[in-house]
Amino acid sequence: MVFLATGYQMVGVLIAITLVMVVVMVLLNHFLSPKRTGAIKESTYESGVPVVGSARRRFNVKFYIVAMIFLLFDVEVVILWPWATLFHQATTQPEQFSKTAMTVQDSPVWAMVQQGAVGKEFLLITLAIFIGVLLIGFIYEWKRGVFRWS
Amino acid sequence: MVDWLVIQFHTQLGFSIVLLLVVIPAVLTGVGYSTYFERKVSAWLQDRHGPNRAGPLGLLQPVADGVKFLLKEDFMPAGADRPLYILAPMLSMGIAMLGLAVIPWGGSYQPAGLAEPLQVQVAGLDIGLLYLLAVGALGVYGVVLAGWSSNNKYAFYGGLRAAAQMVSYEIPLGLSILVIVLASGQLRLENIVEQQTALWWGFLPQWNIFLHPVSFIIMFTCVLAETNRAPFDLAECEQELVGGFHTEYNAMKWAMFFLGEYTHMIVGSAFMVCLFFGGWHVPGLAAEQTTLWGVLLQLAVMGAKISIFIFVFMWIRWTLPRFRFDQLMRLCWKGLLPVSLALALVVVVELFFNVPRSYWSLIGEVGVVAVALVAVSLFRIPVTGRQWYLPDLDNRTPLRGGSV
Repeated sequence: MVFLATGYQMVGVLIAITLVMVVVMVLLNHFLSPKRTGAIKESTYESGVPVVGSARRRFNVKFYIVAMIFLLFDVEVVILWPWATLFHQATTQPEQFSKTAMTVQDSPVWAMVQQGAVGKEFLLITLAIFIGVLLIGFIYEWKRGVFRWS
Repeated sequence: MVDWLVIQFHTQLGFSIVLLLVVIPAVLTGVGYSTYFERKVSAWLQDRHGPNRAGPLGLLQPVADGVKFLLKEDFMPAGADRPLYILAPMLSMGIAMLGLAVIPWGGSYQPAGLAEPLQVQVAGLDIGLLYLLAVGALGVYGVVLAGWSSNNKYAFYGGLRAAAQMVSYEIPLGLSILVIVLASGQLRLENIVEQQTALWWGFLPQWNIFLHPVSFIIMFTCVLAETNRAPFDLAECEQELVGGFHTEYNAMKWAMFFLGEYTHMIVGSAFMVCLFFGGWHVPGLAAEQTTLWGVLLQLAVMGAKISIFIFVFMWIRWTLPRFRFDQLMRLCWKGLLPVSLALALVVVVELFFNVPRSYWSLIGEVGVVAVALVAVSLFRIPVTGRQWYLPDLDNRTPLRGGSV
């Protein structure tokens, strides 16, 4: 408990130090460097030829699809990690696990603990449903050629 | 009780701040000398000398580079989005630094007259691993913003590629770490390291690499891709995109992308060392050392392990050719993702049936790879290599007019 509080304070301290550091680096460069700019120097680099149009134009939609699929899978990973710690406890130390489950008295889990419904089997079934839905989506995406880039 | 807590609180807090003030300069020096080391290793692999003018053996080269970057002219392309153009390198470097907070650098230190040992770690978060994953996922912002704000076509395509690549490899990375989370039941890095300090048969350390080698290979591949290192440096490949997302950057802002990349490499290496190679654990010692000299020894061992990883990164850069973009995405989504998911599910099944964590883990990993290879060859699943929908090599239209 005590060390936990220390931990988050230190993350804050690190963010502050990092912020100061990067700002100072940019500002030092800004004030120390010469200023001899011009239209040609500031023009966009395009292998030496005159610039054709803007770079802000439409791009391949596949990049967008990959970003969307990433969201689904990353949320999956983020959910699976805490699940994994619980599952480890439920399989290796069942007594400790039931104590952990009882600490969340305000949630529906408490009622299920009392009925003896929460155990490693329960956790495995929830995982199976979760991964199953995700896998169906994954196979559908694969069949639709989302991952084919050539 | 309260007094004791207050004293305890301030002691660890003070120690963490001192540690932070040591770690940041140490890592920045390490980053500087990584650039020097990168050039030296490249030179050795190509039978050259590398930098050897500034100072003995060129050892002052990073200092000279730093001064040069500070004094170079700092200008912006006219078409750039000015706030985002300045923000991008700051994000790229700042976010890479944030990962340093949860790395356990040297176990715990027990000074005389203190009830509890001090953690040699800046921030002991309960969700250390989740924090690292979150910070790693943020790393994509710097690159994307740089690519978009420059208003340069090369930079734009580089940024897009980097976004797709870093985002895709985040998933197998998380799933391969899930194997360790499942097997150890911990989200705290220091506890995961502690579990690896025992010995088998009195000499072999119980590092996770011996139980989960395939997960380690997947994680290593993903870290390479996350840090945009060769062979995954499509975001900045010179032959296609000039400089990629940092084409329009110069002076200190360019250097900050560079520093960010190397910081990312150091954090990623430390992450892998902690998960698979016992972190600060000294091979041959069964117990944690809490004396001052013991902690210093553990710090040195941690540093040595990280350095070995950094060297391997550079070695790979000059050994493997770069991927093509479709190969890159195929390797991630059709290769690494199913395999890493299967590896995690195998550990789930082993846990469910209370299989002890021993050679069965290794057998499970090898079994998954074997099944994957058999499935790929039986069903001709296009994972890597030449694709079935491309014309046969023998039936291509021959070149006319040239001499063969």
